[in-house]
Amino acid sequence: MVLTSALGISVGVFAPLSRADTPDRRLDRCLVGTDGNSAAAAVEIPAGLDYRDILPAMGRSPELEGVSGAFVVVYAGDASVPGSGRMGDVRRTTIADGVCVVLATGERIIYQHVSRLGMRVPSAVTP
Amino acid sequence: MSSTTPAEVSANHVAACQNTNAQTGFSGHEKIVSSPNHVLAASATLEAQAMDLCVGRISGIRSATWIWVAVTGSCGTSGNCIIQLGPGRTKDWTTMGWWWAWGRSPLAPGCSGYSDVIPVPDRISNWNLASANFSVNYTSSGSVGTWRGYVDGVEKRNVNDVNICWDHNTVQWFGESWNPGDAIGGCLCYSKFRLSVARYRPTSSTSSLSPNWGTGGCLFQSPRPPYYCTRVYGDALDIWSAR
Repeated sequence: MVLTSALGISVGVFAPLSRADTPDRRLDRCLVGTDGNSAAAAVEIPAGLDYRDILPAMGRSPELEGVSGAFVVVYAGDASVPGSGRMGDVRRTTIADGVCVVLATGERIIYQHVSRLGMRVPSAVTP
Repeated sequence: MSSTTPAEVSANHVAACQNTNAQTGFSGHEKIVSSPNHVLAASATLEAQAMDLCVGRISGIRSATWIWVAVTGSCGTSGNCIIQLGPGRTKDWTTMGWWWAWGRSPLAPGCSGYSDVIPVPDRISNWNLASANFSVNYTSSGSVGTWRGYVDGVEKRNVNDVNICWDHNTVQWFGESWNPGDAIGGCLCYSKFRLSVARYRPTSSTSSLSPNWGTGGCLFQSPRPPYYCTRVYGDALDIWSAR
């Protein structure tokens, strides 16, 4: 299902989907359908800076501010995300309030603890 | 951590030792550069490796192995503050390749108000198992700084320095393995990875420096002291996950 938001942004909303049901490679990049992960919502934003419109309480993310477009997935519930990190620190297997962004370059960035306060991504629409 | 001397393993990196309990862990060494200096580069050369297929491909269980060179630093209670590049494999990518990740935490000094980026490794190219030099380097052009990941002098990925709000004062060279039954090197018999020509560059130096580890015994590291260890030889280090 594809909607147009009040912002004029093209919006796709997805119920939990398996990998086989998901032709969009960007959902695979965000590990949707892997390890029980599902997307509560997904949205394509024409400019990276638009993250402030759809997730206004998200922390500062300069890596998104200069890019021409991005695909944003808001995970449904906790997400299983394979993070690495500094030697000596405990690896996490589950993140809360996760958001995945795939840039036009294909680069993937996964965030945790992203506040949903004021979120403007439709999440109650069933495909 | 404790230190003991293991039996030596010959240079082909393979020894007959059954291991199915390595589990998730890591091992390596680091170099902390005292304030006010910062780290601007980390590199090492990986010896040619002939690795077996991963045996930890258990459905529903993560299986992955990497060797990283990384620039990292103060991060509060988070481990996310890192820029890392290295060879590895996962259960979904069984052929060896080069991987990259970077991260950030609002818990790190200097990062208040920033979003929290998980350093999720991303495969960037194949690795033909030949010896290779790999590095993370800071470069600047005017006021714009960029952290770049290189393999044999070829840039593979980069991240703008404006995203790295944390204090980059540490270099780490380490192995990491995630699964119950796999080992660094990804085989049932254990393998060791050997890195050589380890280098780092602080802001106070115009050239890269050796960490000068000297020669030591097997340094076991938590959380899996029975399995993970690192042994140093000057500017080289061997890394096991299945001692």
